This record gives sequence, C-alpha cells and structure tokens, in this order.
Amino acid sequence: MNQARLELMLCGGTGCRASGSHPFKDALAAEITRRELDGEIRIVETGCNGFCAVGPVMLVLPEDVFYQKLRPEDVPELVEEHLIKGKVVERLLYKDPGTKKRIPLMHDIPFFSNQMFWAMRNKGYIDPEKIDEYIARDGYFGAARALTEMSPEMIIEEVKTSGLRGRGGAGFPAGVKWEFASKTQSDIKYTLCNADEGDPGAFMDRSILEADPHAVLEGMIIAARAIGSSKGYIYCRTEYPLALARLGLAIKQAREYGLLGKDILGSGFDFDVEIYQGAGAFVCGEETALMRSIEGRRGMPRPRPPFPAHKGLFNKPTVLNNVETLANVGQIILHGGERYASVGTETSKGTKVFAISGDVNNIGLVEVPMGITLRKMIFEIGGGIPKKRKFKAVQLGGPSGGCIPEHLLDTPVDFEEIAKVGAIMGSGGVIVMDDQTCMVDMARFFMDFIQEESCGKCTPCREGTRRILQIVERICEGHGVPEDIETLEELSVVIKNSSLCGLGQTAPNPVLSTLRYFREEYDAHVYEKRCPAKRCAALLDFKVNEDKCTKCGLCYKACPVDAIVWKKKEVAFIDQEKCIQCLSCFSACKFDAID
Amino acid sequence: MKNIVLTINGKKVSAPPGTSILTAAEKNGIAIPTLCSHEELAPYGACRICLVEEENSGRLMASCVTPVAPEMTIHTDSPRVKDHRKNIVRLMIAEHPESCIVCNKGNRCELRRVAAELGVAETRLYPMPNHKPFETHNPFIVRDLAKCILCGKCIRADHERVAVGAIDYSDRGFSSRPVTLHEMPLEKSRCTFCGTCVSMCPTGALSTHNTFFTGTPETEETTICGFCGAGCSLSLGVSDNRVVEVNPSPDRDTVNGATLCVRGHFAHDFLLSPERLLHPLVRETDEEGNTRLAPTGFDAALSTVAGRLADIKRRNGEESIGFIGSAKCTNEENYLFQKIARVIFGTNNITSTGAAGGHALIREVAEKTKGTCRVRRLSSLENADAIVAVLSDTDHAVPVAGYHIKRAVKKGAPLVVIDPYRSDLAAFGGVWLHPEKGGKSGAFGIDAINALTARLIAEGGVDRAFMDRYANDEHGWLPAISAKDPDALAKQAGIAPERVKQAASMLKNRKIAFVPPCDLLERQNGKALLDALFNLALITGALGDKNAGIFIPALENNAVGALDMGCAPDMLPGWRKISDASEKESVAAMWEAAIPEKEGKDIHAMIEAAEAGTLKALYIMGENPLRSLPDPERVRGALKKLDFIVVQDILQNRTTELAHVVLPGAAFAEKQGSFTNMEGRIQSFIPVVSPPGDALPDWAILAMLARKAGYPEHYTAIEKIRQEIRRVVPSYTALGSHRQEWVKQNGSEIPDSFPLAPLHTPGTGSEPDEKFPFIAYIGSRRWHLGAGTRTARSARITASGRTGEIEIAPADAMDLGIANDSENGGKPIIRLLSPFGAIERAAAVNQGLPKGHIFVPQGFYGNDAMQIADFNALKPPGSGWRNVRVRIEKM
Repeated sequence: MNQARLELMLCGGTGCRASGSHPFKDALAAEITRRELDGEIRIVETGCNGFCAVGPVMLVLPEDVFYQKLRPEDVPELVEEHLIKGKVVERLLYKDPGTKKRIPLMHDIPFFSNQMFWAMRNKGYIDPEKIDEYIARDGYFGAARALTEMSPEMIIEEVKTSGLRGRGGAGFPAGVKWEFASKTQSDIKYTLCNADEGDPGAFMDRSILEADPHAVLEGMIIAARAIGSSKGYIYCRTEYPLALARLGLAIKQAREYGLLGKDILGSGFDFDVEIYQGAGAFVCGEETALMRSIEGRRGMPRPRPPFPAHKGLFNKPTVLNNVETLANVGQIILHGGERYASVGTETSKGTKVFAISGDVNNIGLVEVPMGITLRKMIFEIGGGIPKKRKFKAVQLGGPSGGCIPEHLLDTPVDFEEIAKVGAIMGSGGVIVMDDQTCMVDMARFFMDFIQEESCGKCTPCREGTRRILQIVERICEGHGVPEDIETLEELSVVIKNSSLCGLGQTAPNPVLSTLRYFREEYDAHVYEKRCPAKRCAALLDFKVNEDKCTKCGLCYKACPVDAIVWKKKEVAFIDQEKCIQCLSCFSACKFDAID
Repeated sequence: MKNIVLTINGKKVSAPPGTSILTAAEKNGIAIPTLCSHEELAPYGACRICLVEEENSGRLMASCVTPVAPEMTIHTDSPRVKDHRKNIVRLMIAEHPESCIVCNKGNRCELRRVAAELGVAETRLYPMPNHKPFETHNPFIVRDLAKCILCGKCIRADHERVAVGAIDYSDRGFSSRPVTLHEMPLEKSRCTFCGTCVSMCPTGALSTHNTFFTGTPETEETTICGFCGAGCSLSLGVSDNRVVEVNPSPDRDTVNGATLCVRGHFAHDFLLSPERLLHPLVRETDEEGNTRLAPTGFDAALSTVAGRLADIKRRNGEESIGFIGSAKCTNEENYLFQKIARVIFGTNNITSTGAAGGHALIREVAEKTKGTCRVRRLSSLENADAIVAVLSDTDHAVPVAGYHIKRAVKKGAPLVVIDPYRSDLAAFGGVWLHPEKGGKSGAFGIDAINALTARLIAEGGVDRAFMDRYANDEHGWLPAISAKDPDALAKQAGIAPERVKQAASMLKNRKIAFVPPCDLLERQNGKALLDALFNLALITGALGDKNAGIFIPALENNAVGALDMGCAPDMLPGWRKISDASEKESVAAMWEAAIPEKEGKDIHAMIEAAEAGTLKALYIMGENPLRSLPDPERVRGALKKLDFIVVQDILQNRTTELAHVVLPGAAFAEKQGSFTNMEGRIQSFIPVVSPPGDALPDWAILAMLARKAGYPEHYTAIEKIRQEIRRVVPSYTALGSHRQEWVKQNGSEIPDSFPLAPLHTPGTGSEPDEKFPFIAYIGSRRWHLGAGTRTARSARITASGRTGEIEIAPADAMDLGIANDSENGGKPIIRLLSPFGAIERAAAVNQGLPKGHIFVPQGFYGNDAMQIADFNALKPPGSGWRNVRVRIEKM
C-alpha cells in the first residue's frame, strides 16, 4: 500500500449517505483528479463515524481535521485551500453550540473527546471493505492468539476476567455463557451473532457492522474456538443492506485469507460463517425465536430451559452474542481481560455504545465508558436539547425500556443502576425528549409498536399489549376514566410476570415507567381532559391564546393547509373549518400561545 | 437418574428429572388449570393459565414448561397465582364472542370451565372486536376463529401428531391466527380432515360440521372404530340414541391416542343412513310372478332360512351351500358363523371377502415368520430404527399407521420409500426410490428391493450373525443375489444407482421396520415382492428386534380376527389346518361334533361353482360382493343362478336386492363384541346405541338361527360365545376379560430357522401392450374404506366434493390432450377400458404418477372401478386383480 500524504476518511455510513456523502465523494474525487493529486491524496469511504447529526462528515488524516455538513459545492474550496495550500477551511468546521467557536480537530470536539472508542475503535479510520486495513490496526491478532496460544478454557477465563456482559440488553456475562456451551458435549455446536437490531431509534449494531465488520467476525472466531463450534450464523435484518453487503464481503475476504474455513491459521481449527437474513420481525431478536427463524420456521420464542447453551439451534448447543459484544472480544483477547475490566463500575465493565436520538443536538452514535452519568452523555456528548427547549425525559432501552426523568439524570450507565430507576440498558437506544413530548402519547407510541410486534404466542402479551394500547389510546383521545389507570397498572403487572419471553415481560415498561414518573400527565388527561404537552390532538382546542400571542406569524408559516389567518401585528386566528389538527402550529410557536 | 424432591402446596413430592411441574402436580392429585397443554403434544407454554408461584425466588412460572428442580417450593393456588390467572382469563374472555348459548362446544368448553372455576364473569374491559374468518363450507369442520384463543393445539396436532402441515400461524400479535397456505379454505389445503384438531380445540373455534344436531351430546361412550384395521378407540357422543359426534377416546394406551382419520372422525353418520335395513325381509312372489322383498319378523325369516338351507343340504349335499363371513363383523360373530357352517350345515365352504382384501398377506407373512410375529405394535413402528415403506398406501388405507411412520421419521428414523408413485410418504422425507428412467412397471418393486439388498450386502450392511444363526438358504438365494451388480439392478428398476447407495447408507446396520401395503398380494407380482422383502428383513436381522420386522396394515377392522376365528375354507379357528388331522380332531372334540373332511371353496371357487350350478345357496354376512369383488357383472350372473341367498347386513345394497331373505344386523356401535386390529390387539366393546328398527346384533341373529336349525347349544349371551373361543382358540384365552388384550403368541419369540425365498426375476404379468398401453392400479383414497360400502353412505363424505377422478401422469395427460382441458376448469371425462370392462369418469392429472401409470381410486361411483378388474385374478395364488392393463378413450 502506498502511503498517501493525506487520507480523506469520508463517512459512508447509512446516515451520511442519506445526507449526501456520495455526491460529495464523486465531486471530490473528480476535483482531486483534475488537480492531479491522485497519487498523494486518497479518499477512503469509511463506515459510520457516529456524528450523524452533522453529516456528511470527513476526517483528514493524519492531521485529525474534522469537516462537517459537506456539500459538492464545497469541493473546489476545500481542495484548493486545504489539500493544496494546507489551510483549514474554517466555515466547514464543527461549531460548538455553547461557545460558538469552530473546532478544527476531531479529538477536541466534545462529542468525540468524551467518548472512549473500544468496540468502535476502527470506525472512521479504516475502509471496512478492505481486510488489510483491519489487520493493519491489529485486527485478527486476538483471534490468532486465541487459536495458537490459548486453550478454550483460557479464552473463557480471559473473557470472564474482562467482565464483558452481553450488549444486546440482558447483560448476561459472556464468559459464563460460553463456559456453559463449552461444557456441553455435542457433535456440532453453533456460534451465532445477533444483528437483528429492531428497537426504534437504535442503530449501534448496524454502524459497527458497516464500519468494522471484521471485528465481529474475529469475535465469532474466538467465541467458536472457546466453545468448540465449527459453524456460525450472523442473523442480520434485511433492512440493513449496507451492513449485509459489507459483512458478505468481509466473510469472503476472511475466507480468502484463511481466517475462516478449514484449519484457520494452521491451528487445525475449522470454523465458517453464513449470513441469515431476518424478515423484519422484532421478536426474532429474542434468542429462541431467532434460532427458530434460522431453522426455517416461524420466529416464535419457546420457553427456557433448555437453554441454548444446551439445546439451541437445531437442538445443538449454541451461543448467541450481540454484534457489540463480539466486536469487543478480539481486543480483550489481544490485550487481556484486565485492561477491559479497568474501565467501568463494579458490575458493568468496559464501554457501551449508545445511539442518541430524539430532541438532542448531536444525534449520533457514541461509545462511553461504563459509569458515565446520563447527564454527561446527553448534555456534553449529546450537546443538550435544541431550540432552547427543556429536557423532559430520556427513554433508555428502546420500547422495552423505560423513561428516566430529569431528577435522575445523574444515574450512572450501569446495568443495575439503570434497572433500579425502572429502565433497562437494553441494546443502547437513547431517545431524548423535550418538554413538548406528551408522556402518555409516548407510551401509546411504544405500546403500538410492541403490540404489533408481539408474536401472538402467549396470551398475556398478545391480548394484554393490545388491551393496554386500547386503554392508552382512549386516554389520549379524552375518553379515559379513573379506573383505566388502575386497569393499566393491574394488567401491566400480569403481563410482566406471566409472559413467555423477554418481549412480553418488558412490554408494559413504557406504561409502567411513565406512570411512575409522570402520573400527573395521565391524571391531567383523565380528570381534566387536558394534554399538558399539547400533543394529544383530541384534547386541544386549536385556538390562539391572545394574551400569549406575540403576533410573530410563525404559526401562519408552518400551517400546511392555510388554516391560519394572520397579518402583521395581528393576533393569529385558526380557521377550524380548514384545520386538520396536524399540530404544526404547536411545534412552530415559541410562546406556547396555542391551546 | 435420581428423582427430584420438591414441595407442592406444602406436600413433599418426587418426580424424575425433566418432569414438568404440571405433570408432577397432576401425578400427586393436584390439578392445575391449563388450556394449551396436552399430554401428546410437546410442552408449549402459550396460554399461561398454568402459572404457579415458586416461593424461594418469588417467581411465577408456567408449570407446563418448567421442569422440576430440587428444593422448589411451589404454590399452585396462592392468591397471587389466582390473581394472575384471573387476569389472563379475563383478557381472553373480553375478546371472546358472547355466544356460549349457541356454541357447539357448549358446556364442554374449556375456556368457559376455567373462567367459571376462577370466578371470571364481568371483565370490566372495553369491547374489542376480533374479526376473524368463519368457515362452514366443507362438510367436516366448522372454523369460527373469532373463538380461537391461540393455544396452538390445532397447529401442533397437525405438525406433531399427524404430520400433515396443513395449518400454521399467520400474522403477529392480536391478528395472529391459524391458517392454511395462502389462507385458502381447508378443503383446498393439504388438510386430510382427520379432525384431530377439532377434538383438541378447547373452545368452539373448531367444531364438527353437523347438519342434524347442535349442542352437547347427552352421553359419551367409548368404543372401537369399525372402519380400518388400525382399531382406533373412539368416544361417541350420543343424543336420542343417535351417534352425533365422534372424538378419539380419552383412554390411555389406545392405538390412536389423540388422532383419528377422516373416516373415523366424520363418516360415522352412515349409521343414520336412510338406507339402513330395519326389518327382516323375505322374498314373496305375487300372482303375476313378480317377486318382492316383504318385511316380516325374525322368527319367520329365520325359519325360512333354516328350512331352505336344510332342504338344499338334503337335496344337493353339504357342498352346495357357501358361507361368506365378514372382516367387518366381530370375532364372536365370525366364530359363530363358521361354526354354523361347519357343524350345522356340514361344509367348509366358508370364507370372507377379506379373502380379496388382505387375508392373503396376513397369512403369507404369518407362514413365513412361523406365526411368531403376530403382535406388532404401532408404537414400536414409531420407535423404529429405520423404516422401509414399499408401495405403501398407509396414509390412505390405514391413516393412523401412516401417522406412526411420519412421527418415527420426525424423531429421526431414516425412511426409504419404494414406490413408483409419489405418495404422501414419498414426499415426506428420506429417500424415494422410484423409476426415474423407465423400467418394467410390474416388476419395479422387486427390482428395487433386489437392488437395495444387493447394495446392502456389497457394503456389509447386513446382520451376519443373525443371518448365520437363523437363515436357511435352501434355494441358494444369497450367492445368487450377491453375484448381481447392485448398480445394474438399480438401472433395471429405472432407479439412479446413487439413490440406492444413499438409501443403503441410511439403512446400513440398522434394524429395519418394513411396511408393505395391505393389498400387496392383490397386486401384480405381490408374492415375489414379499419374498424379496422377507429375505431383506431376514438378512438385516429385522425379525429379531422389537421395533423392527414386517408391519402389515390391515384394511378392515377385523380382517385379522376373522381369520383367527376360522373364516377360511382351509382353516379352523386358531389357524388349525383342516388338512392336519390331529388339529381337526382336537377341534372336533371340543365342539363334540364332526368337522367336514374336505377343505372348502374359497370365494373364487364359490362364484365359479355358482356359475356351474353346483353351488345352490349362499349365506352372506356383512359383505356386499357385488360391490367389492372384481367384475361385478360376472358375480351378479353367478349369484342370480343360486336357488337361495341370505344376506345379513346393515344397509340396503346391490346384493340385498338379489337376496331371498334379508336379515337386518347391527353396526359396530350398536352391538357388543370384539375386533382384533393389525397389531394383534383384541379390543372388546359394548353397544353405545341400539340398532335401528327391528335390527339385531349379528351374533344374536346367528344364535337364533342355530337354535332354529336344531343346534343344542343356546348362545343367549355374548359371554357364552367368548367362553368357547377362549377354549378353542389358544391365542384368545384372555378374550373379553379386559377392554384390551393381546393375541397370545405360541412358542419362542424366534423359531430356529427361517427359509430364505429364492431370487425372483418377475414374470411379465400384465405389462402394458399396444392395445392396452397403460397399467392401472385400483387403490384407496382416504375418503372411502375399501369398496366404500359404508363410507359412500356417509352424508359428509359424499358432500366432500371428492369425486375420485381417474388420475393420470402429467406426460400422458399431455399426450392425450387432457392436460389442457383440465386447465380450462372443467374436468375432462374419459373412458377407461381394460380387457374386462370399462368405466367412464372425470380425469385429473396427478403430478406424482410416472408415465404410463393410471391410478383408479376405489369406493367412488358405487365402486365402479371393479368393472375393469379381472375376476380370475382372484384365483389362488392370485395374480393381482388391483393391477390391470388399460387404454384411455377421450369422451
């Protein structure tokens, strides 16, 4: 590989592609060729950088200069100024929303400087479609060590030492899981990777697969070696075409390099991996349902025991690990479990990747050391709440998780601590909500998702989630009666305690946690027929409050159907005949002047 | 492994590891409500009603899927448990239609029962309509899925018990429901209408389609099914002395467990047929010489019978009277029937139409195994090490046996199917050996078995020790077949050699269960095929193993018992040969009567004798030879020549029309008796309803006849007949002492040696020729049993829309220009001609047929298929009447 003078690490993750990284890349490449810089400057399309909010983004190496929100029309200036003259293009740098200063270097940007890249250590630094670049950054060294220097017991011991816990949500110690499977005798065992990420607002696994697919393969090889498995599957959802393509390519390259297949690295160990595409059922992220799905049957959970470590896929001993868990394994084996365990809290070690989204400035992917507070994650890394709104709550752990209100924001990121406040670590979805969010409406949204995704096998989940949705919908529509809240609580407990799988057991969480912290909002809906956050259309008047109206006309501009009558220096008026109750004016008004 | 000790409701109990809490509790008399658990289905954990509380962990767990663990402290009825159960039932009830009063499940509804037990009445939940399909189009099953509680029993029964795969879940969450592929109606799916799901359904979501009854039957009584030889235990729902519903019996250790087939479940409405015989009829002649059957009483009718038969005997000798018994009647009836023939009328002219339907195979196998393999449990077949099904029609002829095979395969037993037709079993899995590249159609089975045998010998996959110890190779079969090239034999059969290799590698060193069809010896080259099969069984050591050997399906409910009772011209009860003087004498001594010297006539000989005028009278019990024998016109001609015909039956039919006296008998549910099934299981039963009109149980009619004919013994009760059977038939010493008994085998399990049959190179038989270029097989489809005498009177079967089209291979249909017609919707009518007759019927393409083969289903259209069959093929040793050369004419 020729060493280039500058390497332009352009993000090619799904987020940046959506915001236009490809047109930019084409323009950039053409300009570089035009200026005859091909030999000295190399464009690398990387996986997700993580800072999706300001995409498309590009990192210039080795200088570490970070450009954001790039457009094709920026190309000539960028090439002329930076690539030729060596001057940083100020206007394309990241601007700190607090200090309003431009920050040129990536590691100085708070979004990055507060993170700790372990599972995502290669993101943005390598071309995910080139195995050599992965190897150049110590890739497959952990697998090599595991296969040539370590016994399965030693691997398991190392992973147990690291304290690595499952990143898919439940947090089961990975080493212990492997130990169970390694001790089960069988002619064939399976190593599975769960890449069926389905929580709304979660995209950690997708980004890791897009940015560093080999890290996952390496983790699988090590896991397979630890349990004595020769066959692996990656269960990845069809909705991730880029991740699937890159995984497929990575598997092909790893086979060519003798890192998958027969006699890996001359160790005598055989292992190969296949991709299995999920068809979009949320419940297939549940391990027993996932296995049934790979078996070619309808993805429905089955009761445990028997646990997969004893009887899993095709009734053979099986370990299933999440993408992020596996991505950590190679480095743990290479550098030892103790290094990994040196970070984190008593029971939660290492780092955790979160996908931050919702009402937050820096929407994107972050990796933080365990033990960091939610406040730090949301306000320092996440850059706080946009439009000067107030923080209301954060939903952690996807639909099965729970919401955490402002006064508990100093809770550290730790499996047990988060569980104590009624949420779950989950796979790492963080949805930040500002004061315009109605918590009852939010519970309705998640219950709608869950009841739709319930597989229908067990009664409490099938009937109960639908029933809760019905009651919450009635409350949102203003038909709530006081007994409804009691019924919600009663049914939630039953669903939680009696459902078959994790989906059902956590299904009432959106209702339980909003009832726990925002009960007054339910009361307002039920007793006063009022939605405090003004999101439940049925409870709103769609009238302008003349006292509060500043006559600014923002609502007038926002209305998509011209239902608002407004003239300069006049109070706005909403024509009820035309109004479609879309809530655009509520969002637009900065003065809370619409009731 | 040691038992696990735990506490349930304060009581210390112990259970083997792996037992569920639910089972452990039930074994100790603690009932836990459940809606989705069934002892024959794998634990599932869907309904969550069976929740129990574990005190130490405070967890609630579904007891049906949680195995017992040491030190568990379980509470099955704590307030917390009850509260959760109540809420779950409340959720179910709240979306359940409020139609209990008009629901067919009525007070048998399990949901209603559980709700009542838990005191759930008002749900205090909002109405939530649950619109799901309501289907009443087929005559068997009504589906009202709004009542479905998604317990999954129907789907699991379909997959786990009968292995059909007609239904599965569709959609998710609240919208999920059991559906067929593409949500087609059941009748357009793979559903076989076995009804297993209907009986398991805890609510009214699935119920029997009844046109003559709604609600809950007054009583439910157990009996044995009178259709095929599986001998399923039934629970008959009775109201107003009518059988209004059928379910599998809840008894334990039945042959069928929770399953049934379409006939057993739904065809019993034939009992209510308007064509049932209600009164004895005697033929009268009016002044103009016209004759008609006039109703009379039993006394008069039986006097006529006794008088006429005595008269004919006196004038024409004993040999002029023939008796045809029935594989449908009970052991007691057949025993009495043959005794009347032999002792009162002094003739061995006694047979049954089982002679044309399966007796030959039972006899041949018994002879080959020297009577040691009489008991072959289907449960052993289910646990087989490997299965070879040859030309097997089990799925249609004896469906419950078919379920056992499929379950064995699901458990992992390798299956090899040898069949030119792609039967349901061939499609099920394993290896299918079929003529891919030509081969002689009539010889296929033998060629295929020989190829497989040669391959197994070549690969050392046989049980040398067993063979050396037991096989007696007097014909030099082993050297002969060992000298053959397995691949050449495979090619001769038209099979790709690799397939035979694959099959051999699957079977190598395994104890194989062989399943021939029940009609094997009614097919071309059947005897030679059985020889080849038997040799293979012998050299693989299959005969010495519990879960292996030859499993013979029996087409009719008491085919085995009728033989055991001596309904055969050359055999006395208990398989005693008439030709064996000492055997004959011992029976004569027990009967205190002389037994005629000469062996009697079989069915073929009787018809020929009638044609020749030497047979003057026939007494036919429970058979309809005009429907069930080949070439019915010839049989009719023969019967018309007789001076006197007595028909004792339950339904008006073509044979009763010819009769001089008709005696109305009772169907199986209407009388006491016993049947012996294909396994050798003797099953006794008592009447569930009384016979219609003046009809009487057949044994009672025979007992009256015996008295009328002057026989001193008075068989006033069935027990008197049983006493005698127990004495005369050594293998039936336990008859009637329990509901279920097993045929006792005499001697050791395995005799000293078995002879290996010679190597067969089959004759051409009726290979197709230019004039008749196709080879037809007359076989069963599940809708009709055999000739369909009873199933054709079932209103449900006749309404099922199954019309028994003549099935033609796709390539032949193309050649004949029939394929296009059928694509246009209408089914083309064809005329099928054989050297013996012709039939006209609609034709349909069967993708599973090889070129040149025609399948003609039996039982439809008055069983007209017999018109193309050759009566002379019945003549022993039998040349296979079920195969016949034919040609097709387009209409």
